[in-house]
Amino acid sequence: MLSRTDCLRLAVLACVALQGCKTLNLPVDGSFIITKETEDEVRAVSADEAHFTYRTFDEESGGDLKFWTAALTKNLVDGRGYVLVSATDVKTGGGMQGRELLFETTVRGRAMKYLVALFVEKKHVTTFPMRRKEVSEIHVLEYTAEKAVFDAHAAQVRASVQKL
Amino acid sequence: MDDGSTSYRADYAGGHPSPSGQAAPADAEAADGVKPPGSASDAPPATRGRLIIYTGSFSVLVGNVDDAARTFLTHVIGAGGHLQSQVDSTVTVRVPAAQFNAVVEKIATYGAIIHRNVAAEDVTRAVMELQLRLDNAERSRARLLELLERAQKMEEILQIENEDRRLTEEIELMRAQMRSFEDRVAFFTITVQFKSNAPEVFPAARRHRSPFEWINQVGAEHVVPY
Repeated sequence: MLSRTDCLRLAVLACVALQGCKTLNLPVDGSFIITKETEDEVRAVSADEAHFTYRTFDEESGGDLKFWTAALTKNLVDGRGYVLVSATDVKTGGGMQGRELLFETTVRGRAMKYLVALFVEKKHVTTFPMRRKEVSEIHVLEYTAEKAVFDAHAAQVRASVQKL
Repeated sequence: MDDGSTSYRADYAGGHPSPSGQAAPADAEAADGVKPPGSASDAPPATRGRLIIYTGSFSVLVGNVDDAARTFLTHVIGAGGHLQSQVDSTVTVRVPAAQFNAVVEKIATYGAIIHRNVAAEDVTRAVMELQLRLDNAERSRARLLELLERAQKMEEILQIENEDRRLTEEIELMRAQMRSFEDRVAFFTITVQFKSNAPEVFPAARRHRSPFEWINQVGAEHVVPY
């Protein structure tokens, strides 16, 4: 038999769990098939081996788009040897401002282009016991392919931002 | 200090280069009715009534930095230009004004241009003003020399000679400025930084981990599952 306190705790946990649920729709179509789909991650691949992912991460330390763009760029360039090719502002169909970064790198001997689009949303979550907290929800859209293949789907991937 | 020149500037990053590689200067000059050097007219800008100085800087990803720098220099020399400086893989050259477009277009054939900046500076007014000041100074000096011939008193002679010395220095300075303008209008400056194609992602042992865990989970090596 659950006590009144236990019931209250369960209700709070259910609220927290529901608040964490996200629905992701694959923002590309046609030439990609889904290889993995969970509540906060979608992975897809094309027949010519272009890879696409869309993930969301909750970052409790906050931070805005400028901060996360700088942190990601620094890690990829200084920490992993990527070369930044371009950086541009992007906007989702819903009006969310983001930043698109295009890099070049070599993965296991293959010269790749890597596109990553970042969007940062502020949201409030309830933590146990009943505490409201602001966190950053970071939406990360990634698209990578060998250089020769990259351009074939790049426009489609960029257009998919409109569906986010 | 206003030197009477007008600057036009455009930054580019990524993307395919424009056919002429000079979209911004061409646009900027449209208002002045001046065309960039190259296809439309290969005559030096000076002969078209306006004096425009173009400078370009580029970063290019190439397979072999040394080969690309060597090939670029060969092309520049073939076009009548010359090396100004080379620091590591950054090469600065001067090319004849009429060859600017051709050399810029050639850069795109070496690899992927990741940064492009072409600037145009209209120095027509600055040169005209300098020429006027120079003419005035030379006329003044000629009058001083006439006065010197007629001067009788020692004090007067010394005064005129001092003034003549000051004017002569001023004239030499202005002539040097004029030669500099002429050189910069006749030969444009192009700086190209050749960078090696993006290297292999650092191995895990060498990779710097971000203090933010989600960053460690993204990247091409995590997206490609094999």
